[in-house]
Amino acid sequence: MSNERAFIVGLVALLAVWPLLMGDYAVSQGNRVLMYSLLALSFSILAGRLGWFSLCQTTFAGISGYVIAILGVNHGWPAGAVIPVAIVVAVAFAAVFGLLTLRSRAVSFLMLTLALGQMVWALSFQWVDVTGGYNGISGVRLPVVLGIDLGNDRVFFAVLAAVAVLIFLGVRRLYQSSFGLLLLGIQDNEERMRALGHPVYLARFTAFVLAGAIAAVAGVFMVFDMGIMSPSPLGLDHAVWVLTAAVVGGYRTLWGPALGVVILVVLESVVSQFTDRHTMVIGLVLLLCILLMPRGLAEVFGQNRSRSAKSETASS
Amino acid sequence: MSEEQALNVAGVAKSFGSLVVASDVHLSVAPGERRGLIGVNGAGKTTLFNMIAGELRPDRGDIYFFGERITADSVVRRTLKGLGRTYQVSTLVPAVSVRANLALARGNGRLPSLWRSWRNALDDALMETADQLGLTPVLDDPVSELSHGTLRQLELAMVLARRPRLLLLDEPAAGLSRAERQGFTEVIRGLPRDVTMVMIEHDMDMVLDLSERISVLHGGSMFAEGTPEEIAAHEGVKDIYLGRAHE
Repeated sequence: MSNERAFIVGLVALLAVWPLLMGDYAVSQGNRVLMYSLLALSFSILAGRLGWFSLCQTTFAGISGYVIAILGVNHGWPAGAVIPVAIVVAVAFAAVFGLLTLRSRAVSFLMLTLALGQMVWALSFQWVDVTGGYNGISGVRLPVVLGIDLGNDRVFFAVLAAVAVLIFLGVRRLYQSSFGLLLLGIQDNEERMRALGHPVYLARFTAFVLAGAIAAVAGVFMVFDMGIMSPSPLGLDHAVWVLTAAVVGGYRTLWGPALGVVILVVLESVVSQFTDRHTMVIGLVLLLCILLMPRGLAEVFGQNRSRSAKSETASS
Repeated sequence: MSEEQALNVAGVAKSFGSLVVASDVHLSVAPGERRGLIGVNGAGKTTLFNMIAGELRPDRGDIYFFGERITADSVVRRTLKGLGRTYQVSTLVPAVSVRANLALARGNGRLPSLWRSWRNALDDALMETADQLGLTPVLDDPVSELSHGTLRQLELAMVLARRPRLLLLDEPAAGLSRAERQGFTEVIRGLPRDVTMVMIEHDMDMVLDLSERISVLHGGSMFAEGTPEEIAAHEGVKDIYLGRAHE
């Protein structure tokens, strides 16, 4: 069994026993880690494979959250109906944003995603009749199905963990596919990829929409976890939090972004117990992390970019 | 007129602001021909290649590929029609292996599989091309660790793997050792006759050896054209290469 497969088996085992063995707080923090890991994965597909740093992945999560809150709470739709609709709507937004940003590069892409994300955030504040404005929409709950309360933290964790593992394994497969390899090629030299007969814009667009879909799934879990949808998760601070986690963990690798999320969540929990100025302390720790390990923690494990890309694309 | 030509560049012109990089350039290459394209630095050779390959749109003029007008076609469409090119500077994916780069060689204009491993793109014909270019021993090496000579071989293997009808080689032997050049010359000499080739190269021995006809670009215009013997004896060409500029 390869090291990575052993890691995956260990991870699945850990996720399986986590809700059984841990206390309420740890389970709740576990939920947070899993949701933000999906968001960081969504970010890293674009950043690690295409060199695109997006500040609007949290926007897609927010859009799916708002659709669930608006249709579920305000219009009484059942969860089974609102969830797929929410994902479809968020993916449609990702498709539109994808078309708008298709020809942009590096900084212009970052600025476009910032602008688009902030537009949706402002809309969520100002369209009070529909979104509830600053107060948002509360009362978002998961139903009881066959006697199982899906809103129970431990049940919620089990479902979320299963979905997250499936998505991570799907992305792992995608990185090993011809498409995943093409994305690396486009990042290095898009003109060359065209000269080899590859549809560069279509590949970029597909990656953007796929990343948006993963963020949308994260948003579904986030709104049910919070029980309320307000503009806050669409804010820039959330987008930067996700970016920071992915960079600290190593956005060029598959598992690095999730590792970054674990580190940030643990740091926040631990440091906040000792000081009210925990944000400053965490900022300093992150500063050191990024200065000493600019490629993320993956570097500590001896995975520089070429090795990680090689192993992820080569191990099939 | 263009029907029987593999490539027909008809009065192509290109400027960047006030800088004229190509001015009324004409070039006709017969099917199966080996054509050398020479000129001093800045003559407009790579610009002409970029216009033929579709990476640059000409301001005026047309380009025909086996009689078909391709002036407005995208790079991908031209590639799918059978146009292949190499670049002056190696433009490969350095983070992955030679094998993975080869797997990228044969795009078909459609989105590749999101699920199937890229290894499925490697078939016997592709591996045979790699073998012919001496790449078998380094298949699993990262491209970032290859020597310059091996990089050039991989560049050529990737374009040959597409079985192009017209091959544009942009300084394929630049930076190669004498032994590597000899090997490279043999590979190019061994190309089947259904592949038409236009080669930019500064190594005059190689150009004279491989080309059936040679075109000379100077200052963005076609300056002379003829057999290797005619070009070698051309006083104007000698002046250009010796620095006595012909305007």
